[in-house]
Amino acid sequence: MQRREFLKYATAISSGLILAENANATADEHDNLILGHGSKKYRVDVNWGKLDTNTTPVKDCHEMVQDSKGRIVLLTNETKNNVIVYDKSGKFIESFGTEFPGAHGLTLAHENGEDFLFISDNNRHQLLKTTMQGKVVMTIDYPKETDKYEKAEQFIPTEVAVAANGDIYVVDGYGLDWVIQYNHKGEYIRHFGGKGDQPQHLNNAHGVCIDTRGATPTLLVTSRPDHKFKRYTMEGAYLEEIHVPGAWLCRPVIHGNDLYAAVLISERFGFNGSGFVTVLDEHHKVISNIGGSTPTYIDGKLQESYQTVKLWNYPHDVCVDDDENLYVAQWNSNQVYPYKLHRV
Amino acid sequence: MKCVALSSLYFAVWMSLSAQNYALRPPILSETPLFLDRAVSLSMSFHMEGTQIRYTLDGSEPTLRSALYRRPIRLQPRTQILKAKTFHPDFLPSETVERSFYQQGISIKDIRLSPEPSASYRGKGATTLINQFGGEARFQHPSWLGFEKAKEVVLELDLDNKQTVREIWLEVRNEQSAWLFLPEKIEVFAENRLLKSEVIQGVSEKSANASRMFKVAFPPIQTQQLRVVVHPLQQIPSWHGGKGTVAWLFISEVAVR
Repeated sequence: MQRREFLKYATAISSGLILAENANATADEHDNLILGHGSKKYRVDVNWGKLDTNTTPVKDCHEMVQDSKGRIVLLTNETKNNVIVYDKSGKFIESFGTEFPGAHGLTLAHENGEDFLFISDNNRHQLLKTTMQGKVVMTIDYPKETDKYEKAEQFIPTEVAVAANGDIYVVDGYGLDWVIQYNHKGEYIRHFGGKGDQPQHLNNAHGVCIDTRGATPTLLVTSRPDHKFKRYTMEGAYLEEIHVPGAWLCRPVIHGNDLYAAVLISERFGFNGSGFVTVLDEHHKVISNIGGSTPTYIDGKLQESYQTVKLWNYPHDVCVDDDENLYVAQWNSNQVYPYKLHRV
Repeated sequence: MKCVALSSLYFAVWMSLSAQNYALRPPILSETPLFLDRAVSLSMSFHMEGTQIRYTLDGSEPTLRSALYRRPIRLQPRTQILKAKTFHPDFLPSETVERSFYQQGISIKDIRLSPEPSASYRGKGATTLINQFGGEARFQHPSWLGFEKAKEVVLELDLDNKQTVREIWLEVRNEQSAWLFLPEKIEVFAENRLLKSEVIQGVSEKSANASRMFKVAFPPIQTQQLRVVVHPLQQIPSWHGGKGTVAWLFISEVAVR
């Protein structure tokens, strides 16, 4: 090893910086990065999703889901292959999709033993339901029925959630911030949310999911630059908000009893690669920030969360698989493929 | 002695294998005034276990030998610069975060602005510029007032009484990616007389995001009123997406000496 490096560490040792090896070490003996807190710590694998950029390129990696076969499905706005399918070890299985230039939201729905994908496309101003081979079986255009839209271009859907009865909830996160509810046939039922300064209003309604942890299902929507999850009944009545100060929450992802979200940026550091991943328990308590600050509560009030280690650029979605390992897709991060986080 | 050196070497080798290629973010500083008329307390935090915050007050870059932050620092009301970094054995140290402090200047009783700042960047009104607090490292923070497409921005300052003044200070923000440029020129008037016209060099060149404190000096004059005219860059240069248009001007503080 270099003399200079030795001196640097020798100085560190002599100044008492090096603490005794403890269970909270952020590196294990194999030079692996361990991040996170409490019971949600993960070993970071930055090479998991790497593919040949000539044959299987990506642009923004937007969202990921796990299908019924256990495969990890990635959505990118690279029209050479909008949908890329991996197995859990990161091996490439297949890819398809060439007509989704604005591919942003990806949600899996399981109907009558078959998996379907719902793709929210920012550029096409549409929601598309496809088979796992990429064949479009239903298209939802901009919601004229709401009387809120003059033209399709105002509808820039970011994501979809599918209820147990097949109802589809779309969030127009880059458009007018409405949550629009359709039945499983794509027929309009109602809309709610929208822009404004009241509690039920939304600001960049970026992600949506159904929360089945409680006695009755509810809807969770992210109001991203406001650092909030907002909860509604399935009929659209506003219930409450969960505030995570400092965190630009992209998409609510519920697995087991916990709520996960990719955080695009830390409010404090802004748009210079300051994202991380956050995990909340069923009491809405932040229990881990992966690449972010130790969750800190003072007098019961959650303190600002922020990136602590410059590992992430712009995490855009986190997918939790059946082993409770995580996969993180990043936006605008030099076409980086998803990383895997192994639970430790 | 040799034994100790050898075990230190092994320990160091182990640490270097564990060292990551990732850097830390810098420590978070509490809000403090820029201009001090009395001692203030500054606290620093970084919520990551095993991290140390090291700081200096003599302008030098913090190292592992610098003062270790343990409790809020008491800063005396004099010109000084605080520099701080985070350190952790498994990561590269953070960039340096720094904050300057100055002794408070002559008290400004009132300030009027023309034109009004843009509705989106109104801070807490005109008094934002004389609240003794500097601008945060984000222009969206209400410590800044933003002026859009202005030909010139006029600050009328009223002092408590007539006194000898010789300098005005102005803190502005350069963030070219957000179309914020430094002003081309700062002029100071008193009793309708031009005291100084300071042309700022290099405004159109590519430069890093930073807040800058300009000090415009002039021959001492006895007055109770001053008028500061700040000229935003009227033509954004050709290398920039906004070429040919008027740049935004962001001001956080004005002071008189």
